[in-house]
Amino acid sequence: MERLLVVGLGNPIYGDDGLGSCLAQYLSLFNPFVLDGNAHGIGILGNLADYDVLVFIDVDANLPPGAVAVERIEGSLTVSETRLVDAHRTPPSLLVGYLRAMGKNPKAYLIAVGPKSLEPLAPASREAVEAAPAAVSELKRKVAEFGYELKVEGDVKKGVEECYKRVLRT
Amino acid sequence: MSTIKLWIDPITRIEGHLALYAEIDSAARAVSNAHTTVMMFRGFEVFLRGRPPEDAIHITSRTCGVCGAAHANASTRACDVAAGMTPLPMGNVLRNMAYAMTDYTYDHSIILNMLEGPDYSEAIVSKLTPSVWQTAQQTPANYSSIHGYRTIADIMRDLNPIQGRIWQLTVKHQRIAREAGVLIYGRHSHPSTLIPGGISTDITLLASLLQEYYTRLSLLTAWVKFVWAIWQDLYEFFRDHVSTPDGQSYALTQGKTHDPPVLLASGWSDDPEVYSDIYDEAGGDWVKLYSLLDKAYNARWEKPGFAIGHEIYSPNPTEIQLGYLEFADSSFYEDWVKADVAPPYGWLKEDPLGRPLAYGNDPLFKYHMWNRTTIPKPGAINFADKYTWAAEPRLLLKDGRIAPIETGPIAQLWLDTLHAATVQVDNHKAWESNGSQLKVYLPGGTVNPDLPEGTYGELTITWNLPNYSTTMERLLARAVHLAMAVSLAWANLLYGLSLVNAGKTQTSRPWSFGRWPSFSYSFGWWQVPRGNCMHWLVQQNGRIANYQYEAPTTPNVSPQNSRCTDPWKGQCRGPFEMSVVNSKVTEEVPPDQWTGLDFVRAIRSFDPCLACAVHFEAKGEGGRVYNVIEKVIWNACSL
Repeated sequence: MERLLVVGLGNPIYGDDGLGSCLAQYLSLFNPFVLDGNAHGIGILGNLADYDVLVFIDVDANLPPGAVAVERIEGSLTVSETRLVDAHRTPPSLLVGYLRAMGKNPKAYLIAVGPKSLEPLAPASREAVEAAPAAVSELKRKVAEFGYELKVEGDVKKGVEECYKRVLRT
Repeated sequence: MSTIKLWIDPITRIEGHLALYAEIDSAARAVSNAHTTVMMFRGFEVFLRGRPPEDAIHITSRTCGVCGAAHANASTRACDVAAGMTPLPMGNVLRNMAYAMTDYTYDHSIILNMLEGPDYSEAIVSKLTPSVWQTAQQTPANYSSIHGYRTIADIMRDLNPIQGRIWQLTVKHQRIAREAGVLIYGRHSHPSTLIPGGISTDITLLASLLQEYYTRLSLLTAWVKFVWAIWQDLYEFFRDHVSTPDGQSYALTQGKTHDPPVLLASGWSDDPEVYSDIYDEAGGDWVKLYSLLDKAYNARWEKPGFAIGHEIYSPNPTEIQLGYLEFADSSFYEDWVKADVAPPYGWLKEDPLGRPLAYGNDPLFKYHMWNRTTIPKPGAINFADKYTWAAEPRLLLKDGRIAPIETGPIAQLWLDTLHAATVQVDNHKAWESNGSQLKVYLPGGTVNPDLPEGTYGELTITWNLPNYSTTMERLLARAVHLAMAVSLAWANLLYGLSLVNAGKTQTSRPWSFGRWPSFSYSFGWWQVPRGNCMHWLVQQNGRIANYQYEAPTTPNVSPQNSRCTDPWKGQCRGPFEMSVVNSKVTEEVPPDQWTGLDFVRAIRSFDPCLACAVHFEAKGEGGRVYNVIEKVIWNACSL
């Protein structure tokens, strides 16, 4: 069985940007293979190096608000391509690029949600919260392809909303 | 001759808040003018007022996402004194053990190998200084028996970002260091367990905690031997084989700071017994506790003080801090003294022991940190007036002279050496010094399957006190200090085990919310990877009346002003600017293609903590990462 890790990314202080992080916080309650990567940037690179399959949850600003996409991360980086090693602004594609430049070759996917708002201190938009169950369904389908069962209990949308309340103290 | 004008923005490799403007005489390859500017207003001092002092530990930690623990620790020391209580010995041991890992072992490793290392990698060296690259290929490494590299070029190749082995090993080992720290802190980078008078780590399974720490420390001991050997080799290569355009040794002259040097260190690693005992001696009286601080700071396992050249001006923080002033002549703040804005409790004239601040100099005492009020005054950058958000710390000396200030690992080792001290726990001698030389001892039996066997045995590292702080001296000092931190981690672990054996596992004094004197004020200084973290606290009835602090980089990034006296009158600027002014351009490409490599090397060697320090830039078309859409649900929110 291939070693698989689900990683949620984003910063809940920046509106919908934190959706991946909040979903990971919620799903990690029931699934040991889910990690909240929050906004740790390359800080989590060390946590990703030992896996055969990585499935990220994150927002994708190229999508319309509330849309959900399943994306496959292809390609690789070389040192001559690296224009800027930036330790904070690291989307899934860059993390995977670093890993491949390091000689690792994980299969990598992104369950993406289109954000509505990335404003500081704003809660998740209605569009993003409403899209959460569909994102989880797609995630469930994706990990099942590799023999993993994603367990989900309770209300996903409520889990996301509570995560934002916790972070924003609202 | 023509003047080349360089704007490097951002200069740092994590987030860009620091920029450099330099004018260079292209014929002499020398800098005629330099300014560094910080474009970020922090302002924590503004919203800390009115909050409970213990909250400052966790709020100031958020100043930085890398070295949050630096601020948390400085703030904890300030709160300890203002609350009138210090931890029990096991509490001190746990505080020290955690800090040795996060920040020191974690931060020094990433700074050296991931953020500064790329400047010395094949990718950069071969492109911008091809003759140096050629020499590196022909120069055997002196420490091959430890790190396993045959030539200097082999080291530089593995320093290439991302693909280089050293870069990759750093990704792994910084994580191990953070794991070790998190065993005690609960989380990284903002410790959740630091409290006034103690630490709230769950020690129900203390023996297991120490065991888990031990396994990581053992791996990391091999790691720091590997890292030190790499940087010692690079230092010796740049000392003996690389010259500046005027024929000087690169390592000994490039990026030099003040002359005479002005080095400030706080020390860290509180002595478990001494820092605990001063509570008993003080009997709960915070003023008495304050009077014992110099004893406690000097008992630290790394030593405090301010040095001018090779002389200690004072080893005593309570004395040094009497003259610690901050000005806003060139920075985007209102001068609170000229605006006559006193803190809520009026101008403080004395320290808790009745000694006059600024030695009684009026109005300079109003620029002391206990009297500062932060009043932001944003404006456009004007190098003739105000040009940065970084303020201007200066040290007023007893004899009336005013000096700029440099800090960092080199300052800490400098003071450790001048103290002529020995630190030993049981059979583990951590380090010893004699005034001109420092030896750091690392234990053997440290097997690490990722590293060469040369890192498994005992190792003694010798550091000779340099004459000046230069780019390469600062880098070497950081590598030696990495070893120092790990050696002190062993000392603390051994001490902790002896406390466990003696049944002395209690960590904290009985502190509870709201337990504060009606009025007290203090400071907390703590040496950290990027410099000296200094916090000044004034509290009234359990609320912060004023809180001022120096980030580790603040003295180093200071802009120019005209406050200094001789011999620093013509050098009245922070070490960043000084190091650029004293750097020559060694790039072997035409002037219109100069990138400022020597300047960024000089500044990055300090490990700037201005929301950190964007780094590696190399252009090319070698690869691409892209996302392929497998499926899109356009109306997911209506499902």
